[in-house]
Order: sequence, then structure tokens, then C-alpha cells
Amino acid sequence: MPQLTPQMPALPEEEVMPQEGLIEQPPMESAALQVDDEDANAAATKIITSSKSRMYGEEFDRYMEVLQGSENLVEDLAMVSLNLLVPEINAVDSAGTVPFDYLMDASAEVVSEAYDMAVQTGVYQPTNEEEVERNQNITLTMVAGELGKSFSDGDALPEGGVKNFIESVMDGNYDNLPTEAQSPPMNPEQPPLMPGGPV
Amino acid sequence: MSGIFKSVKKAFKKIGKVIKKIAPVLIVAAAVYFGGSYLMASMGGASAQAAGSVATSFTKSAGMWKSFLGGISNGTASSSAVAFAEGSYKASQAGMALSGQVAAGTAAVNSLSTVGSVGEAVKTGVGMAQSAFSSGSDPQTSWNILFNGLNDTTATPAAATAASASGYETGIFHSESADAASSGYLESDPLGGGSGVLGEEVASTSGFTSQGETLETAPRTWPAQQVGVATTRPATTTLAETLPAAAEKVDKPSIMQQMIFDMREQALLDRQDYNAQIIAQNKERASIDKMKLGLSAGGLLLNAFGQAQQAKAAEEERKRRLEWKPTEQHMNPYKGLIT
Repeated sequence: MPQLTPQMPALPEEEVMPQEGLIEQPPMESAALQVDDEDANAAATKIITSSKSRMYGEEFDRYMEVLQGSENLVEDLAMVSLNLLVPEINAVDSAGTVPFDYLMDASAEVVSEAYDMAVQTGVYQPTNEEEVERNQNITLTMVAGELGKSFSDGDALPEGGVKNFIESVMDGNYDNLPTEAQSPPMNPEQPPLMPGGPV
Repeated sequence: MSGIFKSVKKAFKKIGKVIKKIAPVLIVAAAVYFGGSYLMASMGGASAQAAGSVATSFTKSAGMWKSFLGGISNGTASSSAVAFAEGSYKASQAGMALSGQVAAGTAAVNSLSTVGSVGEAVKTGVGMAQSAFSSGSDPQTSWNILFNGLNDTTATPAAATAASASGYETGIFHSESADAASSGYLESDPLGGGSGVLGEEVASTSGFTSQGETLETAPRTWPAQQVGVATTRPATTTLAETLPAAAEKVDKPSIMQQMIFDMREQALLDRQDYNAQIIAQNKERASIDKMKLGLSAGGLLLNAFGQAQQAKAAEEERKRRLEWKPTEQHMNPYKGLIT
């Protein structure tokens, strides 16, 4: 009869306890993507409100001087928008929350507001809505290009995310967005026609 | 998709309320341009070598980087932005999906290297994209068709032929001929005066006229490298003949670019000042911390010395009690009392 060898009871597996003081976060994941949506939304709102405040406040006279002597309003409004956006982005960057997800929205809002300022002050007199939309689109693209180059200086924006986004657009994943022809008219602020008014 | 630009899709309804004139699809197209510029710049600039390295780093979008780089190396950043924006806008007006709009913008930027003028490039790019996306069964196939077409047109300036063959007619340029279409961008003058969308950048070239000067009356001069001898052309010369002159102006930055460069330099200086302030603050904090550390160490030593003294005194007292011996003297408790 074979002699039984005493068997040691199996040791329970040691639970991996998180070491105190270590940050539990994947090392390759950008901190920019960890920003809470509420924080990013608040940062984007701050960029927009601060830009508008400066546009109609301390910078107003300088911008008017530039725009009134402008030979190319589309480019100069892009410069104005960049001049408003860059310091605000730097400011929120110092606070640690650059709202990358909302950057184009905020830029579009600032560009639109800059055009509103130009129209309201009489510097720019558009002939129709399409012209405004086209020019705003060109200005926004200029702003986007310059911002893209500026962000390339740092490593805050993950290259992989940008590449995936562009390839996603090219693959048609964003094609379900309604086109211009399908989107509802965007002039809700137009006052209703007054009955009996001048024709 | 990762979190980049996800809000464009997620907050679509909100954008529609906030943005007054810019359509959301055009914002997404601008976001694509943002990403292209970012990747280009982060990959080392707009050189031919960079174009090659960037193109090999990506798969489907390789043609896009080539096109961006090609456009920027053959024109200014402003003309690239205008070509992309107008191309995507005209494609959206033609009812194309977003991927088709991006394709049109990309093809328009790429066409800058072959046709030279922004108006022609937009017309060519939109035509090529529409042709490719009407013949392709899915976006990937359409992109492949477009990339093949772009490579062909880059080698031979037959983009205008391809555009006209596609049957696409842009509604933005109201001029009668293709040559006049180039100038239509200036003549339409959406800003109510001045030199049009491209302003001085295009209008200041010898091929384009500024305010008051018509294309029919202005004499045109062929550059020497084009025909061997500089010859003056009669007034009927078309804008296409002036493209070499426009190409000579590629290296001169526009006012906006110069202002952006100045702004970047200023931002760099501000950043350096900020960094210097932070370094000074850190040094000051370090010296204060050292002082605090020294004081804490001194206090610790004094505390230890006090504890040692107390222990020594207690030990002496304990020894004294242990070694106490009664004396031989007997105390008289009644001594001194009056009895």
C-alpha cells in the first residue's frame, strides 16, 4: 500500500491589493479623455462667454479698427476669432481641462459671433444667407487649421484619436447627419411679419 | 471612436440651436480639417518627405494627408482652407453625404497643385468627388476611386477635363466660362467691396486684378520660365495663363498668416514668462520648505533633549529613594513646645 504523503492544503490566492499612493489609470491613456463631460462643457462655455466678453469689451475698438480697414474680411475675422480663442484655450489649459470634444463647437460659436459683430456694426453687409454661411464656413476652416497646427506643439491631443475620428468620417459613420438641404431653417430669431406693414 | 469630437455628433441638437449659420455637417468637416492640420504639423511639416512618411502611417486616410500636404506645398494655408471649405460646402449643397463632402474638400485642396486657382480647384474637386461617390458602392470604394483619380490628375493637369466629364455644374460661380469662374470668386465679392474672399493673397498677384481693374483690360505677362522669353499678352488672355505668376507668390505669407505667426511668437513669449514665474515660485517654495524642515529638526532635537533631561532627573530621584537610609538622630516631637 503506498504511503500517503502528507499534502499541504492549497494556499489561497493572494488578492492583489492596490498599492497605496499609486494612481489606478492606464498609463497610455490620455488624461484629456478622462475629463468629465460636465467639466468639459463648463470649460467650453467659459471659452465662449469669455471670448464674447472680450469681443464686445476690451478688444472691441481694436477689432473695429482692424475690420474697418480690412481688405479681406473672411481672413481678418478668422484672425479675430483665433485671437479670442487662443488665450481662452490657454487659460483652461492652465486649469487642466481643455475641452477637446467641444472645441469645434466653441470655435464655430465664436466665429458666428464675430460675424454677428461685423454685421451689427455695419462693417459687413451680406447680400444673402448663403453668403454668410459660406464665409463663416471658410473662416471656421481657417480657424480649425491654425488651431490644429497649434495643438501639434504639445502632446495633449492623442494622435490615435484624431486619426480614428477622421477615418470614421471617411468610412461614412457620420453620413447619417442631415445635410444642409434636410436640416431645418436656422433663422428662428427672424421676427414675424407685421400685418399691414410696408410691403 | 474615441472621445475626440464626439460632441459634434452627440450634441447635434444643441449645436443646431447655438450655431446661427454654420451647418453641423460643415462643423464636422472643419473638425476633419483640424485633425488633418494637427497630424500634418505633428508629423514634421508640409514637405514632400513628410508627406511620404505621413501617408505610409495611415491606411484609408493616406490620400488625405497627401492631398493636404500637396495643397499646402503648392499654395498658402488660406487658399487650402478656402478650397476645403468651399469644396465641402458645394458638395453639401449638391446633397452629398458627409464623407463625400470631405472627399470634395480633399480633392479641391489637392487640385490646387494642378489648376492653381481656388475657383477651378473647387470645381474640379467637387466634380471628382461627385463622380467617385456616384460610381462607388460604398465610401471605401469611392475613396479608392477618388485617390486613383487624384494621383492621375497630380501627374497630368487634366482635372478640369475630369470635372467637365463628370457633368457637375457648380452653382456658386456665375461666370460663363471656366476661366471666368476662377475670377468669379473675386468678382462675386461677398464682402461688399475689397478684393474678395482671398483678398490680397490672390488679388495682389499679377494674374488677378484688384478693385476697378477688369480682366479684359489688364495686360498679362507670361513668366520667362514658362515660355522661355517674357512676352506681353493681349487683353484677351485668360486667367489660366497667369497661374505661374500666382505660383510665384506661394512663399509670401498673407497678412493673416503673419499676424498668426506674431501671435504665436507672443504666446510663446508669454508661456516662457509664465514658466519663469513658475520656476521662481518653486524656488521660493523650496527655500521656505527647507527653512521649515530645519525648524522642525531643531524642535525635534530640543524635544529629545528635554525628554532625556526628564528621564535623567526621574532616574536620579528613583535612585535617591532607593538609597535612602534612616539617620541615627531621633526626633523629639515635643521639642520646642511649651509644656
